[in-house]
Amino acid sequence: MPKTTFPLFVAALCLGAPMPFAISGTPEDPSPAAAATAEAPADISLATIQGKTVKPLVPPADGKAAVVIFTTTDCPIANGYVPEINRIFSEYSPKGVSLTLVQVDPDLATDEAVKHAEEYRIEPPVVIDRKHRLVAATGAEVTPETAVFDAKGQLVYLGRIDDQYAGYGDRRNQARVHDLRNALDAILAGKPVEHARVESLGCYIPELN
Amino acid sequence: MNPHSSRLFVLFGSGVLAASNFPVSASEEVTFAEHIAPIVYENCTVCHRPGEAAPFSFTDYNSVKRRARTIQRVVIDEGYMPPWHPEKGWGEFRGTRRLTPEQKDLIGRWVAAGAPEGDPALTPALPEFPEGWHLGKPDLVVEMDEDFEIHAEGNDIYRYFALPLNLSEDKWVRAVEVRPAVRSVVHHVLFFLDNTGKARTLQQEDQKAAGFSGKGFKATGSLGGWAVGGTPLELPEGHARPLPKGSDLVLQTHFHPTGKVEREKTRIGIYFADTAPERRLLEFQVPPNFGSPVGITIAPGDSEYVVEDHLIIPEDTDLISVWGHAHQVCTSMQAEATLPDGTKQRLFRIGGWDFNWQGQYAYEEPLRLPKGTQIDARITYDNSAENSSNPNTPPKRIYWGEQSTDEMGSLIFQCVAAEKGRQAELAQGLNAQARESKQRFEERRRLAIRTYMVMRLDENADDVLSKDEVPAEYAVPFTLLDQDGSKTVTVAEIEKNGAFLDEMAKKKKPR
Repeated sequence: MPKTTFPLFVAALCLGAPMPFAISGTPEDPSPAAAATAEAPADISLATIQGKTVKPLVPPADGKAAVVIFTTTDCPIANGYVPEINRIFSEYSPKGVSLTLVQVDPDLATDEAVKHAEEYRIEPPVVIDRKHRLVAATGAEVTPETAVFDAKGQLVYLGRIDDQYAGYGDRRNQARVHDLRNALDAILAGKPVEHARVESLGCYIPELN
Repeated sequence: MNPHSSRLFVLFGSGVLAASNFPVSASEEVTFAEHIAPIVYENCTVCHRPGEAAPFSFTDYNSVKRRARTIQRVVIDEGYMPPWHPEKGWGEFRGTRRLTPEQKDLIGRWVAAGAPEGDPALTPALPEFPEGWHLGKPDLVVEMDEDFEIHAEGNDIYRYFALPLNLSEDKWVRAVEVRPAVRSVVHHVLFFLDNTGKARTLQQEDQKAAGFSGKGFKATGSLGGWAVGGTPLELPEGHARPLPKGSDLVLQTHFHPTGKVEREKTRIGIYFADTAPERRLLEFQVPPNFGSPVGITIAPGDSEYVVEDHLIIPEDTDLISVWGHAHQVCTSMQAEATLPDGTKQRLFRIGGWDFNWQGQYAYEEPLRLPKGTQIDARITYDNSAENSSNPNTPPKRIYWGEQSTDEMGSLIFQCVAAEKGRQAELAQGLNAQARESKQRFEERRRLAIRTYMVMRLDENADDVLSKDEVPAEYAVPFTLLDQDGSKTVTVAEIEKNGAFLDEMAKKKKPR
């Protein structure tokens, strides 16, 4: 975890400055995000596995927030979150929040992603970020890390879905802190997100070859 | 896992490297082909391959490189993989899966260097892993009679399944292997025996799902157990567990939800010994009976509750295998032997007890303990909110019990008499030791039962009984306990003033 990026991120938030998109890596610890060139969030459009073109980082028209959740088909921690991801999708969609699941394995074939979505009954749209454009634009490092953009195009939350995993193999029976829901509730209430960056525990996003 | 151990490990490891003629010099490039593939193929791929329980297959350069940073985190930083819970220096066990400091150092250097492949021609071939049964064709294969459905998320599930074996003669079992249909969902299985038919009846009566809850089941024997990450435990040559004819096999299976609904139908392979062993395998526990006589009652917030017990080995004895059992707030368990000459011998320790890993461990060689050796067991529990494994938020008082939200705790040893002719004496001596242990804990257990009888009324679980939590008919006992007239009853007051409850407890045992 490149902790050195954190103060920069907070400073940017406090000043209300446009988000710097290079928050992801440090020179001594090149993260996967550094491998791709970051683009403006509004510029990134991708096809879902159902063939629809979407802008995952742009909230719906008149909406308040866009959520992306990074995943791979084989990360057990990310897969274990699918039911909660489905619940967040169905509860927050009517409130003007878009949610897209992002497959980050560059070698993943579309039909494999479709099969995975069917097996796990994934309800939100799924895109495959083969060039890590979304990874670079958010600075996400693990699956299932999640990033939230507001209507101004600013990254307002980057981190875990909740605290169910206290460590690898250390899963609480129930989550106690629902960081993603808290962030969305704050945005919908027009308040600042209290914890804008929370470390996420999971599988590191495979680097681009 | 001790959070400090991995850091110490790195420091220690580099010290060793600097001082010794380590084959890979600090300047040499660490590559997958030459250095990493042998480590991964030898230690990880047996589970991390298609069709096995672990996520991510590690079968070639690309599949390992893809997870290089995750490997760095879970192997080097966290020590979570490979899964091996007994602590180093506390017994030598078969099938130990532990990386050396040198191997960890190589992995760390390889990841830091960007996980280079090196010369692919130097990559060793994948070892030949057994397809299907790891131990070869079993002598008897049985299968659950119907699928058991595991919910997509939520609590882990513990479920019992009775499998008729229909054996018309007594058998001796040297190994049991588990083949789950959905390997990622089955975390561990304990193998019990039942020759009373009770388990079958309970299973028939339980209409909710396949199997039964386990409530009311008392095993009449055991064939050991298996946990994911372990190869099946084969007893050392010449040893076997008795399997009386007419017994049903009863599985206690621990399921992990995976994120989607799964349907599991486990197959079990049983391997028989050709002949009866010369010496029957005996079992003893410290403390006895999973700690039920101890009087476990752990206050909410108590971060270091300790159970200690000991046992004197009554005959020259060979220890064959060991395992520990406790539930979710247990944090560590250990057993140390003091030989008659005063020598200390560390037998077994799990420093970061994790309820999810119920492994059983066979000593590399039978461990000889002379008559008069004392085994001291120590088990610790953390019932504070800081313990992420605490099943209660906020923490509640925890008592001994069979539900996974209750607690238990003992170290369980399998052994034989060193002398062929002394088996009966060993068995009798061990039973006598268990009885003595129960006597030692009698007072503590009485206080625990008292506490349970009263504090089970503590509806708001604040560990203090207030008057409004007490039904009208208990007004008199409440006043007797509350001698300071504070209108509340604490555990200290129950222990000090509650002797009259002991008579009631005798008439009606709370559990």
